[in-house]
Amino acid sequence: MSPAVSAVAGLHRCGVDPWVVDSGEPAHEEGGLQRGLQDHLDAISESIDHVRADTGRRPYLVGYSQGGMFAYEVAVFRGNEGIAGIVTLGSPVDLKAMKPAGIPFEALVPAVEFLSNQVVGTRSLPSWASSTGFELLDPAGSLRKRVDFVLKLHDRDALASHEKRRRFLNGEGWVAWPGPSLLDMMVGLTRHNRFMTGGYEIDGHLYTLRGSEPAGAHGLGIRRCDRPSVVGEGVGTRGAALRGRRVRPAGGSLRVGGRIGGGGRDLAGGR
Amino acid sequence: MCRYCGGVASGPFHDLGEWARNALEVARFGGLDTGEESSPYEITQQSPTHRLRRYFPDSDPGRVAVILIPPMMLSRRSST
Repeated sequence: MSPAVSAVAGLHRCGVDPWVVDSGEPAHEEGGLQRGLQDHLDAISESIDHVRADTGRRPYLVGYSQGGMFAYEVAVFRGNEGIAGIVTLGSPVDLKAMKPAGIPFEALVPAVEFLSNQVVGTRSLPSWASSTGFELLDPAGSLRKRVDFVLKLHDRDALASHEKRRRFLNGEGWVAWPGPSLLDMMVGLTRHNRFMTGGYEIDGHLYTLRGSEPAGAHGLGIRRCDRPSVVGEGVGTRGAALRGRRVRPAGGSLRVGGRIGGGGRDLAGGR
Repeated sequence: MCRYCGGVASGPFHDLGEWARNALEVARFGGLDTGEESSPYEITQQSPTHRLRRYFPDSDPGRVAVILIPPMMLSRRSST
């Protein structure tokens, strides 16, 4: 990424110590396409422990898009332990309010259930599909950018400042999405609209952040929270997501996901 | 400045030449080489499912630590 738009470069200029959890390229790593959401959450949790041991400070988690969901889920599982706060950027939170593609939440859930159980299964999503899907979110805009690029090809200086970003969005920045992870994400995002109603399900148990110890004070200039909270584009603090009970399981590792609408305890009664 | 003739670069023929040269570079390498360098980093933790990268590892200590978490379908290059 160009230094002008690089997040780590920008944060470093602002006096921050930036770390990145790199999941690599699943399609080119042994067992990569069999990874589930729990593998990603375990990796983030291990990273938190490492950063804390290395720096002596509780790190902030900054997740963008689905990364913000990971941050929330890890904070829930850890009961906020070792985490100074959370910032999410463009993460989906309230599906009822968002109405993606204009689809009401009540219709979205069965549609996602069908897609998850009958179509996705454990199939992985190749990187080109993610890239293409992103372009299809705004097909006219994507086509216009491609035409502009061709028309300006004679002017290298005019293209240079956007070239890294263009290459990233046009394919180089996308990696395959492992099937189990994709399924877990669809479950977590849609079941009970959890990010708004509070808590998160891990291995059939409901976790929330109520009762978590207050976070330490750091002068970062980003929102400092008594507990990890969700801050992002038009999102604000979601107090409702922080209410309820915090229950930790006897087991050690994160277990997330399952089939939507499948077996297991119905946790709708939890807050 | 025209890189070939040494004179002032202008005119449709110059633009056409530049366009063809850049188009060839895009066709061969997928894009234009801008000469920009990625931020320096070191891998401080590694497992079968992740690598933890610390950027600007030679920075002065005492900074607030921030862990960036990209979405699953984007590579870590999205933040670096």
